[in-house]
Amino acid sequence: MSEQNTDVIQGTLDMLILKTLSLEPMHGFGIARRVEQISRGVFKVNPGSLLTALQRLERAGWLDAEWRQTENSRRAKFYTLTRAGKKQLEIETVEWARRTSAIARLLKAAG
Amino acid sequence: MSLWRQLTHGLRSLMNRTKADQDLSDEVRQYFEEATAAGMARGLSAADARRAARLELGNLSAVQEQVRSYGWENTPRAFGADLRYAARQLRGNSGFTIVSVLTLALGVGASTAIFSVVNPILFEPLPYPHSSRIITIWNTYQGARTETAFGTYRELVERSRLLDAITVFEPWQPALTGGARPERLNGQSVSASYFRVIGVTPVLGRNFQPSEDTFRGPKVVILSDRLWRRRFNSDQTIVGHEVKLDGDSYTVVGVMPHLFENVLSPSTEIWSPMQYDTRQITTNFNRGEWGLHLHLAGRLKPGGSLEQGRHELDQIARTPLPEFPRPRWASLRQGLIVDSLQDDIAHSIKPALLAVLGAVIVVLTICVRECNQSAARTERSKAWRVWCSSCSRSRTVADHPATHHGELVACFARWRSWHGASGNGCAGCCSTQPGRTAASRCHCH
Repeated sequence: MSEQNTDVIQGTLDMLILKTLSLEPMHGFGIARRVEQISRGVFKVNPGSLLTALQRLERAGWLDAEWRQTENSRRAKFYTLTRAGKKQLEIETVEWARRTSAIARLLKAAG
Repeated sequence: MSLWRQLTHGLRSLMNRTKADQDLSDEVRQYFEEATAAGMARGLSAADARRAARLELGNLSAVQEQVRSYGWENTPRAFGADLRYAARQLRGNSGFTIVSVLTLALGVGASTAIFSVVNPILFEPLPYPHSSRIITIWNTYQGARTETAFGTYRELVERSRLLDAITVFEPWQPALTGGARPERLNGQSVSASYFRVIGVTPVLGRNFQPSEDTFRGPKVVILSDRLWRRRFNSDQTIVGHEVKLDGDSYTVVGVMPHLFENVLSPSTEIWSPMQYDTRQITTNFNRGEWGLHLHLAGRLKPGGSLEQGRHELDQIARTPLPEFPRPRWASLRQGLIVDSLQDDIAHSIKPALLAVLGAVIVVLTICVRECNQSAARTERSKAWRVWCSSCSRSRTVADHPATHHGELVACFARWRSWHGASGNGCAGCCSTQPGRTAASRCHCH
């Protein structure tokens, strides 16, 4: 991993988890690795925050959890996106796009 | 949906703590193993991979603690832990517990007893309909309450517009004869409007009529429930019968309800109309009608306030009219004292009752404070120790009791610091307080 990786931007962890799980069901470590890989090592997920977020999202009804065997036959808790979770991901994606374009406009205007 | 999940998941974790903890611990461990495996896949040695994984995760217990701290169920859980801790402490100091419980019991008992005496007198409304509209009216003499004359009552009845009814009454102690043995009764001689002012009517028979409250009018009485049961055997047909009082025959016209409380004179068992002679009331002051020996009460009309009533009666007192002449001793020059019946009854004892109530509350506060302070003292005197089973060493780690798992973990962090940063190889359990059971969840890695 690169030495320059940073913690996930505050408030975006939920969205990143939902997005990652929209590809396929995964366990906690899988999600963390996937976020790091896709962000090319820019973002580093703190395990404590991740597991807490998973619990919160599960309680919110956006994820389902189930214990299954991994490919290397370990018992792991796999998380799946629910329908409500898919909807939430759409909402958060739209909201994120709105914000980033606003920030981009601001930066452009300042420059 | 999510609320339901919050509730069910929280309850499940609350009910089956071990299972929830096991799941969490498994999940964290699996994360650790996956991280180690990933390190080895990158070509690290097993030990290096493990160290890298540990670096990534930090303290596993701390991670578990962080996840565990999410959710509403932590509040009742922490509360339960506090209760258990408190119970343990109390069991451990039986002497202190007994003294505290006794002190608190006495304090609470005394407060309750005093409050139950004070409450009906000062705070609960009187047991009459719209009791706040009942007022008492007193003559004033040098600022204090004194009795009034029948003549004053007559003038107020004629002139007041804000009062629905005014009544006048005085003690009356007739001798009841005709039964097995004669008995002196506590009674009241009242104007016919007495029960209208109070707002309670007889349960048997009827109320007094104005025609019965005239000079040499018919001799009638109303009985209290107690007298009716005691002397007349709860006779349902008593109304219309005659009773002998002071040698005269009186007709019973009514019986008051069982629950009726006569707060104006609690021991009263019989009432009779007063029947003053009003023929010479404006011409001859040397008669009983102008003696100052009567009590006055009135009922305000609906919507009328005590202030308005007070104002009107004060106006009447200060403006004598030629058609209502007053003798010198009942001139009302010093005005009238008007109060609500509730305040009037309590006015002489209110300061004393409040003082006693205040004193009891202060005592209770002191009891609670004293117990708290003693508890705090006992608690502080015990140092908390962590004992390592592998090296059989114990060390004081905290002055405060570790009531929560999180604090135990913090204890462990300290414990690890004596064993060097790694602390590897020791999976010992900690026991908090020598001789007490260990929190078996605590492993050091």
